[in-house]
Amino acid sequence: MTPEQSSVTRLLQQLSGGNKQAFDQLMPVVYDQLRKLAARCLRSEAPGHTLPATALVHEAYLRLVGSDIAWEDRVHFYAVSARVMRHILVDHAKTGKRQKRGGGAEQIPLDEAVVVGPDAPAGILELDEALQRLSALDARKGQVVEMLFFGGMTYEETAAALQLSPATVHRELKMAKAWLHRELSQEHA
Amino acid sequence: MATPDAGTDRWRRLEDIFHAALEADLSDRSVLLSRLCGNDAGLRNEVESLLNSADKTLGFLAKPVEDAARAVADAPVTIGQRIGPYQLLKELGEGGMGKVYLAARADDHYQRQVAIKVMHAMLGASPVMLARFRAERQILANLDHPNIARLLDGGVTSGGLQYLVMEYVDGVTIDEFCRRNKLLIEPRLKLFLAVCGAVEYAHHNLVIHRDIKPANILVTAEGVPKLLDFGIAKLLDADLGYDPNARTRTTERLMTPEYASPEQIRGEPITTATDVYGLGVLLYELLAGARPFRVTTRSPLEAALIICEQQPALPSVTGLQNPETAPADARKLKGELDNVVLMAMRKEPERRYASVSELSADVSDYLRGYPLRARTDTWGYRSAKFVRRHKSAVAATVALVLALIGFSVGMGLLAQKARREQMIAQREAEFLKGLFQAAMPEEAQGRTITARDLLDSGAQRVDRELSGDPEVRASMLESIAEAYRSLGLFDQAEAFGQRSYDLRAKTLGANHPQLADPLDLLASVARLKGQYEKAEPNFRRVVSLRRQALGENDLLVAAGLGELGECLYLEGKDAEAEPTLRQALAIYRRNGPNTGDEVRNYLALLLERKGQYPEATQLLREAVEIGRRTGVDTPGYAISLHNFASVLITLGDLSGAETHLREALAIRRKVLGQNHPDVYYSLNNLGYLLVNKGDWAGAEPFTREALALALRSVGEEHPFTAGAHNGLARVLEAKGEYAEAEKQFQQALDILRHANQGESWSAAQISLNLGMLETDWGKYSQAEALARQSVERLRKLGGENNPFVATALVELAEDRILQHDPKSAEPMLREAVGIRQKMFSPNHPSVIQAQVRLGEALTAEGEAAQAEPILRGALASARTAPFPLARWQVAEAESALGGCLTAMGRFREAQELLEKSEAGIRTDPRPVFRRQSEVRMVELERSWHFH
Repeated sequence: MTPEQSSVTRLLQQLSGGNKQAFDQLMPVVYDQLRKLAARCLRSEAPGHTLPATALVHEAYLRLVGSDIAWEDRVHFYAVSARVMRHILVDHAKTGKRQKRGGGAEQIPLDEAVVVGPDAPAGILELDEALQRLSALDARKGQVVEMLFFGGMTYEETAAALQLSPATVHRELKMAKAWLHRELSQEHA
Repeated sequence: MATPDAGTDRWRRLEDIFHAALEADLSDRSVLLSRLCGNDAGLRNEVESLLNSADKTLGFLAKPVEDAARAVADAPVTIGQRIGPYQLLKELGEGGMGKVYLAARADDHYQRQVAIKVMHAMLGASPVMLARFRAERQILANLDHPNIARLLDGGVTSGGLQYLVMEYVDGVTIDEFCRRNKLLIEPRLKLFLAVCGAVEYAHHNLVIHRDIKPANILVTAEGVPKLLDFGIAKLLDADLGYDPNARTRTTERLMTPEYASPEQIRGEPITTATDVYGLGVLLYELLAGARPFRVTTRSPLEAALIICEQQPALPSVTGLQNPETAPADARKLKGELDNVVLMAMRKEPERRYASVSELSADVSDYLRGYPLRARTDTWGYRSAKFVRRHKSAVAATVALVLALIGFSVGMGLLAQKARREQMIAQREAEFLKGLFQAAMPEEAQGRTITARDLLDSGAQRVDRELSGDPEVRASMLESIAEAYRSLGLFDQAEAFGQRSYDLRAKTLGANHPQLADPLDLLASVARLKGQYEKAEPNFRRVVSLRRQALGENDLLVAAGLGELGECLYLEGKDAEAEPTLRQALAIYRRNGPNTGDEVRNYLALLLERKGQYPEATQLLREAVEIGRRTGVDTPGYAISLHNFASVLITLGDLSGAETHLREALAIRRKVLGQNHPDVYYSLNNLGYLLVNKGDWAGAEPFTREALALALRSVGEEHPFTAGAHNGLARVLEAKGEYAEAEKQFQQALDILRHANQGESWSAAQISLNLGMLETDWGKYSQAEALARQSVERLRKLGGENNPFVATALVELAEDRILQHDPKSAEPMLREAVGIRQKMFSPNHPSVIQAQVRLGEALTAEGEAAQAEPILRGALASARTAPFPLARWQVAEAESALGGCLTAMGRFREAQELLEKSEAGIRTDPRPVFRRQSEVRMVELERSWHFH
């Protein structure tokens, strides 16, 4: 284990022990790693393949921590990464929007890829905003969505992180998806 | 305003009602909602809107996340970010290797501006690589020349991306500068000389630029050109050097192949001559106002062909065609400056100027009025080169040439006087020379000469110049017909073939053995056009004429038998085709190991239809071997590869098949050109394979290209086109575009019916495919009717134990299951399993598939305990198959087992399997099975919840 890896491990253990500060300290580390990985992934992807969030998070994990650590700690890592990943993606989209109005840089705003229709996918900013509203109504559902979709966690891992049964996770997700879908379709109607 | 508590309560109520409604049957839902919501209309509305959305949520969340992730990866830095001591101010543009930003030192109060180029490529963290990078940077930082933008600094961002800090040049690109200021030739040449000076200086410092193009040369307001991106290409190659596989990717990384030198495209070593070429292209563009090559294709192979083979038009000619951008005195380019440019741009590095200084010397000499080094190519040299360079396009012309040369030899059948032969040979030579001369670049005025053009002009000249000589004329007509045929231009081939036949019949009589050749040609063209009834009797005549003249063991007789057999096979007369082909094969075998690959192909295809795979595979293997030994750049070899791949697909070796198919496609594109019908076959099969792999997105471009090609070359009525519609339909089906897919299948069937092939194998198969589509669409009773019909037809065509019958049975069974009658499905599936087990090994994908379906039927019947061992067996077989199964195939087995275990109450195990199968199922080309996975998840939840 490298020195960097052992400090991350420590932080994770502290986090699972209930230390909230560890979360703040982990964030920048994870953030950096995820950005590196995201940039690298693009150039080796064949055109047409999408970039799975899952792969990034797992790789980040391996890089920062190595493979032999308690499972519960690993799950906490993923939960943190999920939050960070969401932050990166939303942050970037917002910057894109700012730039378009200002300096002449040619970034394509992400949410311009939206196709209008009830089954249409929304952009990341609308999704984030809707997710925030959902979390206000029901924090647990918001976390479920964040972990499953931004963190690429499995049902088992999400269940462990939130201390629920996988079946409950399924159930939560079902309603969360329905709610989000409704909210997002209405915006485009 | 509701209190938080009231809000939470309401939310909980909403949740409970939502889930309860989902679990109830659709028909009971309304009643349930009335009961649970009572008078609260608002609540009811909310629940209903949620329920409405609940049905549509498949995949809608994943996409925005993935899109966003992609965008992040795409934009490695942001404006305002600090990189080292600099702060990014704005984006200046994008080059091939990265984006360029304007930046300034933050501590300097933004006084000194620099340009920072951030690379796309990521270096690994290997210390060796970083050290090498630093060393190269040092060399470049030492390049100090007034016409080179200085490299100031470099490093790696915190995100791990390389960046370079360069002198900021405030100017426009050199071509834009020339255009705006409407510069004449002389000032453009002076700018060019300054650029040459920079490149020369760099070469003295052992640095090669490799990427010389107008976009990399900015000219300041004062008219000083500055070369950018110096040696950066060389820097990048530093990391390529460590990865042998990356070599081939160089071509893909070149954003503008139009500026790449032939040796770069071919992956050969880069030398200073590469920069000479680059300067040549630059000079071309500055003087002519346009690039020498226009590469609009996305295919690297086509781009490579253009750069490596095509001759550019003369700058003087292009210059006159581009008055907007070329110098006003462009007509002065003709002659000497043309030669300078062309010499710098020669395809072979060793034939260019030996150094940049020689090139600039010639330009200076021109400006001073002195004679130049560059000379016109001599005719002799160029004509030989011409043929070599256009080797791919001129396959037909070579055939023509050989035919003409061989013609004198073939004339040995008739008694000839030596003098006459000599005269004929001489006339041929004159004729040929005339043909080539007509194709010389000057005469052609910059158009690309295709083989077709050569042929067309040859065809005209035959009549004009050889009118007195029927024998010569007949042979020439035949050669021309053959050449047209090999180009895929069947109508012209037929016309000339007929003329040749008529001429010979007139001069030699109707039963003369020499008539066999034009007859053979006519018959094969008819066959290629799909007019089998016309072709068959002619082939028979060919065989009998040749037998008469040459005896039983002659290769020409074998060829004739082979073609007859091929024709019979295409007509579906397998019973007669087989012995004919076997006869032909016997003769070939008696004549040595390097012939008869074509016959083996047809025999193998025939045996495949009968399900006799071992012999078919062996024959095709032999055919591929023969092809490898006798010449890989031939259409015949491509055919063998293609058919071998076909049988591999049937055997389940998808990756082996893919390799061969791609090889065949590459050969065909190269040797036959983009528009040849054979390319269509490869495209279609590759599309089919990729759909079977689960990659229908990858298949789509191939199938669309196949269809476009078929329509272009043989038209809407030809049976080939039916195949293309079928291929595209399967892709659309996988995408869920059911109406479109149905249209395509219908079109395919219509075409076959109109061509009197409504009862053929192909039609039966396409009909079955249509049935599968109806299943995917949810139109189960229609699907069932079609599937039943297919079972009947395929039984009639291929017998009881034909594997295609099994496919139809499986489909029919599936339709029964989906209509809630699994009991009737069970015996059909058992029969299908039986048929397939007889035909294939126990872990062949089709056997496994039938077993999986059987397991599903049993589970649906309530016999999950019976189903379990069957499904476990299938899964085990899938994991131990000799060729890896497609992901979706394994996933189907896992999902089925998951469903079975759910029915038995083993929820945890079931969940594991269902989750495992989720990713793979998404690549299942049949939407109906993708849906089943969702259904099973829901059922699992439901069962578990109530457990």
